[in-house]
Amino acid sequence: MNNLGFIGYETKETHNSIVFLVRLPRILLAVLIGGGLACSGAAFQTIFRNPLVSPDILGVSAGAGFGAALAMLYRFPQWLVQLSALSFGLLAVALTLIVAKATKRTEITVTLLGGIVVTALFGALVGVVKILADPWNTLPSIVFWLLGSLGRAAPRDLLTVLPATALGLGLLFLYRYRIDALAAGDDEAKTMGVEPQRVRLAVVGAATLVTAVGVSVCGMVGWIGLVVPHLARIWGGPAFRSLLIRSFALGAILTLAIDDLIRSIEAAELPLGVMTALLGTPIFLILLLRSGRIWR
Amino acid sequence: MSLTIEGLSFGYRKNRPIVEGLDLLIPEGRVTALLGSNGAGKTTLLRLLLGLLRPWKGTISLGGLDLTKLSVAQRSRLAAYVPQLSDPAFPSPVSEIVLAARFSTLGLGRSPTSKDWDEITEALELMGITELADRPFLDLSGGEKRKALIARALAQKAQLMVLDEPTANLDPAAQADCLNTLKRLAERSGRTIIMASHFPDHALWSSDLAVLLKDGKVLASGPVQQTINPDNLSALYGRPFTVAQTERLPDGRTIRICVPLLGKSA
Repeated sequence: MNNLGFIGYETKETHNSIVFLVRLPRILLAVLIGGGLACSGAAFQTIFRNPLVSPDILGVSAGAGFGAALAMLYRFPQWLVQLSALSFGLLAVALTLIVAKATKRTEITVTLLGGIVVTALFGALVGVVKILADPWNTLPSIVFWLLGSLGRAAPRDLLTVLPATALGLGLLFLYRYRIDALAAGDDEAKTMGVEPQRVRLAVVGAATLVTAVGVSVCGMVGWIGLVVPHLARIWGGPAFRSLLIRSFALGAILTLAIDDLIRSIEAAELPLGVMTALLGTPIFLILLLRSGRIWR
Repeated sequence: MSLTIEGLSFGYRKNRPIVEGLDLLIPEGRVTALLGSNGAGKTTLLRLLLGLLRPWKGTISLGGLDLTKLSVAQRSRLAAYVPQLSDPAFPSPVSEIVLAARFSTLGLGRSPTSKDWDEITEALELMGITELADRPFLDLSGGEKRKALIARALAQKAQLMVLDEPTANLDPAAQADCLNTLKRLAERSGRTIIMASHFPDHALWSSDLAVLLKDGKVLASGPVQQTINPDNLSALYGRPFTVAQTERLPDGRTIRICVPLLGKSA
């Protein structure tokens, strides 16, 4: 391990350990997960032509949360927790889309309603898991994890988060122009030579992968996926190819800043998910009141 | 390339055809107007041409290629669509809306080249809306939006252009402007242009040919001046019509105007 002598102090092995084994992984995870959630949100909003969708609202987060909680209940190893989060995240978004399709209506609200139903279902299932969990041991870890925190982040989490996020965001980058075509609506996209169903399938898979792997490490961190894409759109317009990059940058910076804020509050370390909600809600409200219609 | 439709049938429900055994020949470099009452099958026919619906049977061929057998991407190189309205989900500028026409030609992961941007510039120039390029599409007037959508279809470089009621919701000046543009486009670019319309007058002003569609079948088709006559219009809309001839207009034209007569339906 390198000696970190860059600020003139002599460093001890423990300092190096703190930086490389605790701080650095936490910083990298905050960047990857925050950026990833923001990019997923931007992708979902564009392909569903709906500025109000986000991984939380489509049920992805709730599904992934349930999947992870279930695996934690049975004390599965970390990689199985992540796999379970991913599977249930995909299942949840599939259910949302099935519910929306079953109504045979095309309004954007139908997708939101489907998401609300699915989120409620998985919320209830998480409740069942909590009741079944051992109150001395498993339950506290599930509860703290659900509130969202990077406090337990470990270097080994990077082994799954880094490749999964890179793969998911890489796919979104490859599809960046086709995703823009979908913003015009399915009929128009199709006459312009882009198959909406095919693109949507790939994008939902990629964005769910990124979200679920994030949720499986740091729990339910809401609002980043909803609010950051709007800020990124105000910053530089809605074209997805550049929105993706701006969303990642903003999501990463915001999450990292919030996590640092949390660590520097002395009294108690607030969960990350609580903090993003405390900050995300007023930002969303300001956006809503400022323009009346935040998406146009 | 002319468009040949043979034995085309389609319906949304089993045994309830909307379009039945349709045969049509639509020549290139002309504007063809598709007229018919509500529910006659105009929109269904347009959607079939664009591959948005799959026919029960029959063929639609453009220059010998059967459009119904092509992939979505291949078809988009041959047929382009100008919808009545486009409602992009986010506030993109006009240039970005038009650029979407080029997306399917990009390989996965590739960015548009300078050639793609040239096509966009050319399409905007052809429609005379170069100065609108950076304006948000949603802020445009109805007529400007229609022009931007036609520019997008042009940038797709497809031989066939299909328009769904291009004059709907436009003021009279914008209607005349739009129709004149289509006529000019067909003449200059040699494209095959098909427009659905509720206005026989608009067909008389701008089209070379008219196809009258009733209950999913062709009631009459041919050169517009002969096809649009009182008898055909009465049969088409179920109400007596008269076709009046104007005096010589200040722009030198003498045009014909179709007026439905009051009183009982035929």
